[in-house]
Amino acid sequence: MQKYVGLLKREWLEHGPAFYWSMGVLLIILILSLILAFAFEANLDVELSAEQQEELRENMTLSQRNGDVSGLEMLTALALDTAGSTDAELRTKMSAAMAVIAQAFHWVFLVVSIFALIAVLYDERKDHSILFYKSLPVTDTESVLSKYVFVAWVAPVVVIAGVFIAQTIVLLAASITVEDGQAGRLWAASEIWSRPFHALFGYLLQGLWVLPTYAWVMLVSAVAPKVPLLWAFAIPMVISWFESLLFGQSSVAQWLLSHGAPAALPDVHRFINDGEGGAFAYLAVLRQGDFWVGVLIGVGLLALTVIARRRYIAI
Amino acid sequence: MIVAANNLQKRFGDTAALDGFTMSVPAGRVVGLIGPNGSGKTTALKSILGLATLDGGELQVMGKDPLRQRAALMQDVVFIADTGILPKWMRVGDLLDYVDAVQPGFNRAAAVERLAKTEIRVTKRVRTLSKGMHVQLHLAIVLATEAKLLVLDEPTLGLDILYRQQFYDAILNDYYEQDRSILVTTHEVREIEHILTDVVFIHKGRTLLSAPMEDLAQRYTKLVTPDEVSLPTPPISTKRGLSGYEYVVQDVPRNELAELGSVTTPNLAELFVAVVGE
Repeated sequence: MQKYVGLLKREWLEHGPAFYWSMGVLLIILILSLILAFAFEANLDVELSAEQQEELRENMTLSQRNGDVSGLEMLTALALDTAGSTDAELRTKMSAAMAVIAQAFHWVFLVVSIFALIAVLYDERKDHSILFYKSLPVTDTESVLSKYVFVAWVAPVVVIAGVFIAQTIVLLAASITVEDGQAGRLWAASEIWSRPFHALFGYLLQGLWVLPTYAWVMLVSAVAPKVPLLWAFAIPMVISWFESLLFGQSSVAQWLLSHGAPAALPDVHRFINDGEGGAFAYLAVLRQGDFWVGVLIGVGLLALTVIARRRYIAI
Repeated sequence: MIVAANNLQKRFGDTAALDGFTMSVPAGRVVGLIGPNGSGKTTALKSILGLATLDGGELQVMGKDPLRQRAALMQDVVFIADTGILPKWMRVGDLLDYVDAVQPGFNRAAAVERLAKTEIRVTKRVRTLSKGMHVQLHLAIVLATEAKLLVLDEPTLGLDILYRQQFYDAILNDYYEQDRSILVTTHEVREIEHILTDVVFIHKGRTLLSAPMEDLAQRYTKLVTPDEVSLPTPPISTKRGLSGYEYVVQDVPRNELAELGSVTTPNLAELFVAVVGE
């Protein structure tokens, strides 16, 4: 056990900063955006139609109707209509809002993951540190799997934390601008506390969903003589090009791309499918034959990656 | 037998890196693998460490197939390569933690104690260390690991004379024991000559000579004469130097040669040149 913890810790030391810095930058951008929005809220130029103005007036509290209403408060009232929504309606709206906030984090995480994976087996060949790692009693299978497990299932803890913090910050901001007495409903409807657990389970599935794409990138990382990122994209593109010439369609690149998307994550799944299917809708991915075909192909590609590392292709 | 290599074959395209290479490392011996650049010695070492595939031959290290059982083998084998191979992005402390986690035979406290005698601090990143400190760090890790075989591939390349001396002193004083073996390659033959118990000459992937050091003194003689002389058996090399004619002769009693000129034992460099020149 100590060995596997050591392997994952090594991956964390090497690739962890890329993940938490990228999430940190996104959080900073979010916070700055909110600060700017609050700072300039008096100047928000919100153009409303007659129906929207009527709707807004109906949804506002009496005190708000009689007093000055800021642009942010108007926007919040329009978007969420907290007072005028039932709990179920509010939950649907909040779920969509929470999913929107999470999008940037999941997609940025995906991009960072690809960059981390393209480096994991290439960099150690480039700086010859592979010779040091291979001088220790760690098998090539353990090395390759530890790298995959880290990116697919350990690093997501960072993005889950990032999304949770971002959603909490936005909720706090919304609580300030929402109608009096509605903040509690907002928090309850957001289901903020159960979201990280759904995300955690979602990433367990996601780690299998992206297996063929991630394993392909790792294989390229283990064998590419130079610029592995270029090889990782160029080969599927060339295959697709031939495919489209011969058959008039290009399924290989599309299939790999689809298995690179964070489609098994609750927030993203909800976003793509417009909220259909409830909180556990993302589990539907398990019923797709494509999911299991991807797992099989991914396992095959990982096995090839282990063989490639065993043969140590020096740069 | 710690290493048993028999008729190893390895080709890179049209070039034979190993062409029937054969050698052995018995327990408790310090074996020098001597050869020029491109002779196949690094390929041989990589094969022994499970880092390179072979096209043919039989190779066992401590009874294991190095390629298939590398991880198990590395519990008993440590090595230092010619280039700085420690991960440069790591901090020294993290590196020690990593080795501690994956290498059961590693004694972290012993490594830290050794490093405390140097200028290397555990908070430093490996990339900030000089070449000499890099080797000191690797040496500290290796010497703190319980292993039966130490493989050194040009370990002092690029080091100044002070570090080189310290390096081999540390190896002899702190690693070498009766049941531990060392396999070393280097260009600086004179540097290691005094610590070797056995020597293997490799050239063009073939074993030219494999013998204990004490046998070399008995079998090979260097004869220097002011004038060219006729020898009982043909010498394996003849060279005209400032002091006259220098012959390296094999398997001729020294008393027979002493009558012809001054007789000494050739050093490894002289012997290597003589054997390769053959």
